[in-house]
Amino acid sequence: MVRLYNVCKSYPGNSAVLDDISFTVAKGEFTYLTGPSGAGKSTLLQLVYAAQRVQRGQILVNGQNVTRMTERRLSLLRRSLGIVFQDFRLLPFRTVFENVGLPLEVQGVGRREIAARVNEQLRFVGLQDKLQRRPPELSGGEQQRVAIARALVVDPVLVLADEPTGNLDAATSRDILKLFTHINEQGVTILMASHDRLLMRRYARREIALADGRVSPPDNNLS
Amino acid sequence: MIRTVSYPFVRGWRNLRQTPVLSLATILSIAVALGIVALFAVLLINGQQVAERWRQDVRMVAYLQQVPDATELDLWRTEMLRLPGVAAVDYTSPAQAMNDFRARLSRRADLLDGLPEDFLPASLVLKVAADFKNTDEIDALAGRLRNDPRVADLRYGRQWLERVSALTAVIKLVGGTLGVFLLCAAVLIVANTIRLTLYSRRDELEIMALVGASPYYLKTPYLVEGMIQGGCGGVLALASVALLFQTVLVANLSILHSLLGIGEVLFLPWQWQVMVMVSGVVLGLLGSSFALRRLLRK
Repeated sequence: MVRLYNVCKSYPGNSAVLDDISFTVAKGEFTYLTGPSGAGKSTLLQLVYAAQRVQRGQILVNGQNVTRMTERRLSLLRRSLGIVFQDFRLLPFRTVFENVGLPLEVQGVGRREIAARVNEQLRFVGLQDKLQRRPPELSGGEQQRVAIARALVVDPVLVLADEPTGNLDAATSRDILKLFTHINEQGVTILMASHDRLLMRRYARREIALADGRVSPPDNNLS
Repeated sequence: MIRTVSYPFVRGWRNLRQTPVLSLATILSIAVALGIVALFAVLLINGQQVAERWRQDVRMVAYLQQVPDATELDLWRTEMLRLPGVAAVDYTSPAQAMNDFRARLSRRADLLDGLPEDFLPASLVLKVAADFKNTDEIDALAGRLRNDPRVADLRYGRQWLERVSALTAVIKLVGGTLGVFLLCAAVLIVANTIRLTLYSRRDELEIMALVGASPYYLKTPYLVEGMIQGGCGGVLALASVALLFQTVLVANLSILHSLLGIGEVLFLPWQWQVMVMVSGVVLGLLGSSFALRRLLRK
């Protein structure tokens, strides 16, 4: 589902954030991307959904090379991805319903279909009674569940999650991880950046560890 | 499908309403720029009308060396009518010239008492054809007449023609130069307004892009916003110039026109009016395109 070949990324004036990264995430796999702060986890995810471009190397997502894509084709690819952020990235002036329906709205899906699919996802994340609320009226855990519903509403082939539990307490983090496990059980591939060792031990999965911009053996990072 | 097509317009209109002060400033800037250009166009049209009238009414007076007899006069008339650009030839005898002069002096005509009746020279008044328009052609005709040994002197309204032509050229130059500067300024103002709107909605645009919004979906509302602002600016410019035309220009230009014996004061023809409005839309579109190119490049 995701293949990286010798990916390099650096910012002007800095040494390489990512240096010669190669790995594969198989279809249906749940993979953690781990490493200390500044290891390049978020940058790597951004390269996968092409919010940033690589300096060198290739990235294939669902068989398509994102490093050479036009904006138009990239927007089509992103319609098959679900992206979840640490800071939720919800639109504060839109309701929960509108936020979840946004990916469908930008695709030009009809109102009725949007309503049906948004309600289905809100039921899945347990927020069916809060669809007219706005994000600032919700707790952090609820906001993250809205973000997950938004990611799932397009029936994604791949979910990319960047520290989705980073701003949540332990109990809420467990709920969110359970939700991701449930999503993965339905066949959706998940690549999740996280540094929450406790949670990763509890919900153990394959791990790709980053250190100093390179892939390192996962055991080296366990503490 | 209908929603996809209508979305940019609905969204563009919503953008305008969300930033009314900025939008109003942009509309006013475009209106001022286009209004000044349109005002110069009105002056130009009327200046050209005056020049045209003068050109169409050009008369040349060829003062003759000697008074011709009837046979000579017929011969000369026929010769001159054959010259390119000469529409009619009238003869003024010295006696008639004196009478005309007396009539012009009216109460002071007694100044001419004692002068012989043939004091003033005989002359041929040549009316220049209406299609003989530019000053070069008229100068060429004048040159031929001057070289004619029978002609002692030649007078025609060359200076006036040159002045009116120069005036219209100045109006064209000043209006054009000022117009280009003002229109460029208007494009930059639109670009900055849209850029500010884009900055204030950067998060929203980024999220939309990440959930699969196409470049078309992201950009078109802002292009529409610029076009609406430009169109409103164009309409406002036209309305302002029309108001100014009715209240100030008609009265002032009428005096000038009646002095010059020219009919009504002209406003912009409908094609030019449409052009002002379309220019507004194009300006708005250009401004928003610049802003979008910079901000949504990645």
